[in-house]
Amino acid sequence: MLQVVLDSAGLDAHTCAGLLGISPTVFAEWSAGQRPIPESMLPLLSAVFSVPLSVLRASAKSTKGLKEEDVTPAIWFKFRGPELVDADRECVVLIRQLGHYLNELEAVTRNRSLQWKTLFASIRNSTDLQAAPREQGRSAARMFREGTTLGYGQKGNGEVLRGLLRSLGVLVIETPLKESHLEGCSFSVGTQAASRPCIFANTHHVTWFRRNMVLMHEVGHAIFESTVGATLDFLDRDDTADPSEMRAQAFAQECLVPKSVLVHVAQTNGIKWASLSARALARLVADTHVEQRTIVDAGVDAGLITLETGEELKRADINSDLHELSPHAFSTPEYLELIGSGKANEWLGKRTTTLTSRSLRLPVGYVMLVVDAYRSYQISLGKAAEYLMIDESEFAERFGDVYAGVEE
Amino acid sequence: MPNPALLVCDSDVLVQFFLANEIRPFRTLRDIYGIQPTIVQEVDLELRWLGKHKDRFVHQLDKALKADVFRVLDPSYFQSFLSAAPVGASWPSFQSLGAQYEGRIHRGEAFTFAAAVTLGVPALSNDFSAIKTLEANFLTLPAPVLRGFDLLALSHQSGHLGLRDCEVFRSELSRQGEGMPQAFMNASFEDGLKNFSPRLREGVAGAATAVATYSATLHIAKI
Repeated sequence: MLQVVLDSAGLDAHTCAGLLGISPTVFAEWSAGQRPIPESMLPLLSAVFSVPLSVLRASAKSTKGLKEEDVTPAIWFKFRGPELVDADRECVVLIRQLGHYLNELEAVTRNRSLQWKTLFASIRNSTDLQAAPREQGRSAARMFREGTTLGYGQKGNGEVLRGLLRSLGVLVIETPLKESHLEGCSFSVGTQAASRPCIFANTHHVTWFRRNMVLMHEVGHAIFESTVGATLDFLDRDDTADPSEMRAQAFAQECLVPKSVLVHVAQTNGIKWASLSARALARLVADTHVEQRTIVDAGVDAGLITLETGEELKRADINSDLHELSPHAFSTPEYLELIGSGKANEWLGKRTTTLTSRSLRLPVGYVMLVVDAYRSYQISLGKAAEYLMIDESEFAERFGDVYAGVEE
Repeated sequence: MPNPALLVCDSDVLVQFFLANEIRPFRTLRDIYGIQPTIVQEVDLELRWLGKHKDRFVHQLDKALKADVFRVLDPSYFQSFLSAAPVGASWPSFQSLGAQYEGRIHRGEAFTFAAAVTLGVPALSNDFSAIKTLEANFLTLPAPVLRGFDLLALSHQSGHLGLRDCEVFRSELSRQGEGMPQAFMNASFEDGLKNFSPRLREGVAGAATAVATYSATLHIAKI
């Protein structure tokens, strides 16, 4: 049965084995039904491949004659498309594995947040789905801001965004995927009984300001398109005419830079909308934490600048000004120099998986959760290393060994 | 009390014995004391693909399994021990306990300890962190949990493994940067043994310390 699922998803058994840290020989035997899958492995496989346990337990005989489309999980319909590359699918396998680990970890630390469930449902239920998509997005964003701490301030919230989403129970992944054309995507992770939204942003050649927008765009999708398996957004593809994209984009913009924030930031900095210079635009980007294009679009939507001026402002070169105004515009070496080697060493190279055949940069919040659970004796060294997809000795090297020097 | 029928072995110990290419202590255990070394399915899986070692141990594992030095504790083999197991023991209860442990400790250790607890037999594991984690969270541990050096010490003390072989084992682990009890870290096997309290001794079978803890001493008799 497993082989049918892998084939339908466009996944290669050998690659999956490498990603999951399982012997390729054994995995191939499981896939071919030549060796029974241990019961203890079923929850992980079920969560990763999005297949019910009953399907994984089914004998080859009982599933004979089943059509591929009867067993292909919705997410894999999306990820087997021609625009996607193996790297995308492999990354999804790893992220879904991470989602399973997060559920396990939250169960033992009793630290599970399901706030996203009620918040997303309440936004969906209160949104007029017959209204114009952009209005739906804006209205949803207003509810999102009111329902979270985003609504409290009139400043940029890029620095608190990730922590906020994590506290809601959303899994946020930002990792470089060089070979991929994906800019962002959203899908569910975990088995049906313990699913949660996951939003992903490709960090390869994408600025922090742009990524904030991508993340919130994906949150918009996660709220409204939770039943379609996955939503995918590609780099350099103009799908702004698609209603769901319009809604997600309006949601992200209104969440990050509603008119009140724009006006407040401009007033605080003495910026005149009628004569917006490159320096002033850079200041707006630096303080609102969103990219230039979004600031201009938000300004036009709010009636603060005209459409024509907006087009000119989108072409303005603000890079050198932005570099002076915001450390978020720094290159990695520049940023590390700014924060100093002590602080840099706390996290540098400590979030990347090394036991998997493809590496993944884990979220800071997740790594902290694992390390804290280990340091408070809630999980063992081996488990902590497994959760971070690294070797035990590497975990001890990165984060220390609480049992070092303890005589057995 | 008779010797336990099984010793449920964890992958970290087996890795050390495989690295040193030494499995005679397991044969001794089986042939002289009638205790069958076993591994749970999860450990079998781990040993076939283990982190940085990848598939390095597959050949040694298969050879040992073929010779019945180890047996995999699959459902049918597990069932054969239920008559002597504590009340309530069953395959589902073992799986459920393993799943409970798995949230806190690595899968191999989780199911090794769960099998030993369910069947009321000792376990063999060097994972001190896993033991302390289960203990800190008030979860039941096998009694006792033996270490690799307990088995080595028994083999030596019962005359089945010479000092030289034991020292080769110790120095090979040391050379490969493997962990071992403090007593042997900077001392030869012979010197280390003087400061080591083995948890496995030859004597009157079943005679153990009053409280059955993970660090209790298990006395076993030749069959």
